[in-house]
Amino acid sequence: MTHSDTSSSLSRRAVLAGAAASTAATAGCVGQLRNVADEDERSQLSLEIKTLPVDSDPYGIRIAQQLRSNLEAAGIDVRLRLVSIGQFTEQVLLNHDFDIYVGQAPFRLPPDPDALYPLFESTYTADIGWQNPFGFTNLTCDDLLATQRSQAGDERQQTVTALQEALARNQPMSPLVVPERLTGVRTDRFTGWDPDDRESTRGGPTRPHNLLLLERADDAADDARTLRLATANDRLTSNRNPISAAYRQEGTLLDLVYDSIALRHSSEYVPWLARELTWVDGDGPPEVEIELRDELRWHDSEQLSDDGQQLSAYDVGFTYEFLQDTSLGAASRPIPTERFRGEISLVDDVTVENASRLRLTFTDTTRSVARRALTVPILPAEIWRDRTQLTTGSNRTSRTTLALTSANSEAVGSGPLQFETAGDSSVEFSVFDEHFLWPPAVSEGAGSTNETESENDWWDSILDGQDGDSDEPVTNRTASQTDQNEQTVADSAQGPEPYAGRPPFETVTMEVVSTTGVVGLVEGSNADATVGPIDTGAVAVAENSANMELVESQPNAFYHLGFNTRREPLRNPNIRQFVARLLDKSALVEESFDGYGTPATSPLAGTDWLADSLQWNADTDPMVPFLGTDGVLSVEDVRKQLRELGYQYNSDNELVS
Amino acid sequence: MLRAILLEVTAVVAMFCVVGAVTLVGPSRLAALRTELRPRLRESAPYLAVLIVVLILNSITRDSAQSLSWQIGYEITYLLAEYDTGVVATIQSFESQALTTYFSSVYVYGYVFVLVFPVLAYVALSDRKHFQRLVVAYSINYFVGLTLYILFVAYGPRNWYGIEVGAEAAKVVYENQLYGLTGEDTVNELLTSEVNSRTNVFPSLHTSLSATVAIFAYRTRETYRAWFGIATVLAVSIIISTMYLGIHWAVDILFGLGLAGLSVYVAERYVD
Repeated sequence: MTHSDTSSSLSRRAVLAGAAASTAATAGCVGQLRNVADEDERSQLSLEIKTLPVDSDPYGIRIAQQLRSNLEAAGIDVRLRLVSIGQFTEQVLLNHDFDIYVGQAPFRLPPDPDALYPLFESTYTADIGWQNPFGFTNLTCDDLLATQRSQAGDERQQTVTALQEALARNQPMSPLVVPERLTGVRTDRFTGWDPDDRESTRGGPTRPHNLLLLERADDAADDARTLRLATANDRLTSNRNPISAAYRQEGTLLDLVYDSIALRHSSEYVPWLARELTWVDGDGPPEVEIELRDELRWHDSEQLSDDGQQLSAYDVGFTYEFLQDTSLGAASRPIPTERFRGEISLVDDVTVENASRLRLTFTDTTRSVARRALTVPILPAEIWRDRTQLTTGSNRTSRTTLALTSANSEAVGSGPLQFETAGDSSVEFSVFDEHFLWPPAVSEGAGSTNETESENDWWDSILDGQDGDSDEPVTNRTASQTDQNEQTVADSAQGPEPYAGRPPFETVTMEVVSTTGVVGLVEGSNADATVGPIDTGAVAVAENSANMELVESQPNAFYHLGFNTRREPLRNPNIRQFVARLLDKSALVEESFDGYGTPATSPLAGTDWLADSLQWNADTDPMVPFLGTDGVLSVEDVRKQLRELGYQYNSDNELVS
Repeated sequence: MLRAILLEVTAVVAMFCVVGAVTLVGPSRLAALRTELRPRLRESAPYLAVLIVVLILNSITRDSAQSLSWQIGYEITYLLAEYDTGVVATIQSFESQALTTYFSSVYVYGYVFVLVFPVLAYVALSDRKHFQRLVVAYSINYFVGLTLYILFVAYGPRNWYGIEVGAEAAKVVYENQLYGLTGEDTVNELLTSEVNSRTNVFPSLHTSLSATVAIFAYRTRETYRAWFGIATVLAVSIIISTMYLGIHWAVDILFGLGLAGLSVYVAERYVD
């Protein structure tokens, strides 16, 4: 740690600079002094790591601290910066102002390898949000990403394997650990949290749509009509815009505020706003006829006129056009949504036939990829068409539209939950009375007698979008049953199983605290379940608690190092590989995740698409093996490696280029 | 939820204040207040007005100050961590359940009591200067503190330490806090995380304000002998608790103490 001499002398000056600035009380002064301080450091290689504080994410900082100390051991000057969730979005995803970040992927298990498309496709480098934040440009990967879209079966598997290998060699990001999701729940008011009870639903107990499946506890008090959730993520309190990059991850309660045409349910897609989805036969690109359910309504809002209360095919058509260009032609170049870019890029054309029917024509792809586009949130045209105005600022470097910068405070959707109020640290929703999942006319009791049978029928009829031969190499449990069903119909009288029927609560509240606070709220009977990350210390709390149970569930979004490949020295794939080799993923799982996770080398780890060559074997990373043993870095190997890469050490053992 | 917690804190502190008023201030001074309170407050009205303005400013600008801070502020968590040189970890290595309970109570209830009680005790004195100096010093603490919060963005040790060599101790306390995160301790966690923004770490206002009170208690030790002792013990406990609970770095404490000295110096210079 001989390098610490210089870095501490820098720090001392910076402290003095800071103190001087505080008396001068001008920010410009701080900036100038900072530059002076940086000049002296020019010779040493320097990297910045950004991650969330423990209050928002208990694991990111543990990885970041490990990386920091190993980079420092390699003679590199490291700045570890903690940023809030909002700042992470702004600095990393909007402004690409980072060297390395430690964070979670924007999706849990990728539903389909095509989820990688927006992450790594090189035309997305100028985009913001979770569209290639790495600035990664690689023609081989581009080709593979494009090819897999129109392939099926073994061919596609081979392409996806080649893609994973290319990504692993190039390391635009370095997957580290697929964590297990821990959810703290209590069962004195609501039960049915454990997904084992209903294996077909994927995701943890607090996956938004799983909340609809909860049941009322037998001994619950009569007035227990509020589902109380606790989270460490404060986004919903200030921004409820479903298409803005402010939402890094899937799985927020906004998923229950906005409905989509179809809903992903396990590996299948359930018709949701659609009553009926019909894939048009033909040799050309896929085409789907969408027949909407009757009487779909938007949430009550003063923003909607009397005519606009009904959700129609025009709204759906508008949404698909709008997400492709939120300026609706007003800008010289389209300004697309900051989320769902991969999905939206699959849609080629939209034809609205009448108020309840429309047709989507897709690009050259397969049905099983195309159906992903059916999951985007459908927006009320009347509200969003007034948001096409061009604007600058709002922390985005390029021109943008009001649609993307708006906080969308009122969040008028058509989903099962209607937004009510938000405070500094809490958000409240109510169950939307007029949702199609609980039509008022349905007589109760009918259909419960032959439930199992009708459920099977229903499973046969769910939208699967398979092309004759299966695209999913292993998980095609239901595919064989549905291969023959080119035309899929869901019974319009009922909502889709298993979600139909009113949930056992009238209100949903979400309290925002820290990753430790959420555990306390559930244990202390002030919340029913945690949403999002919780500290692993919760395991000990649950063991000693009579009130709280811990549910372990399906793998969560994987942790990774994101590299800014626009910047030196990370432009060089060898350096990215080198940085990746500074972390012992097995040791991370054991020490930082307390065993709740598995090491990973591919973004498709944990899925059936994982390349054989990237399978984790016997504690060794198949692509970027750790430079050391059992979590302890071999400084000698590290230095040798760096010298081979053309770097040198100065007399202070600092790495210089 | 938060409202209920605040109510509880108010009730507990009010109870301590009543006990303190009877035993420390004494019945005769309290009796005199019946006629004297109004004229005394009127006399100190300008000072009180400044404090109230500062506090209102604080509450209305809290959100915007936060985002302004991210825009123009200087991010210094890594510096605070570096210059802490393991002080926080050392303090946390003495962790025990009893200490955790003690320090978290002191951090919440003790702190509010230390701030509120001297207001009561000094307004009960016929010499108005103590009261006025206290009010001026509070204003300075808040004003300078909030300005520094805008200029510097930093997270406390709790948010910085993952599991790292040397931070084992921090982790132990952290997990033990979790064990204790039921009942009272949940209250404390909620209060500290919600009333105080997580990035308002440098300097420690807990430190500066309780040190300010302790310095004034020293000045008035002839009048309130017991209070000097109590204030000192509480102030020291509060200061240690901020580090023990992983909320502040040692550097925050040093600057907090400096701010306390500055505020008392200015207050005594301008009020006599």
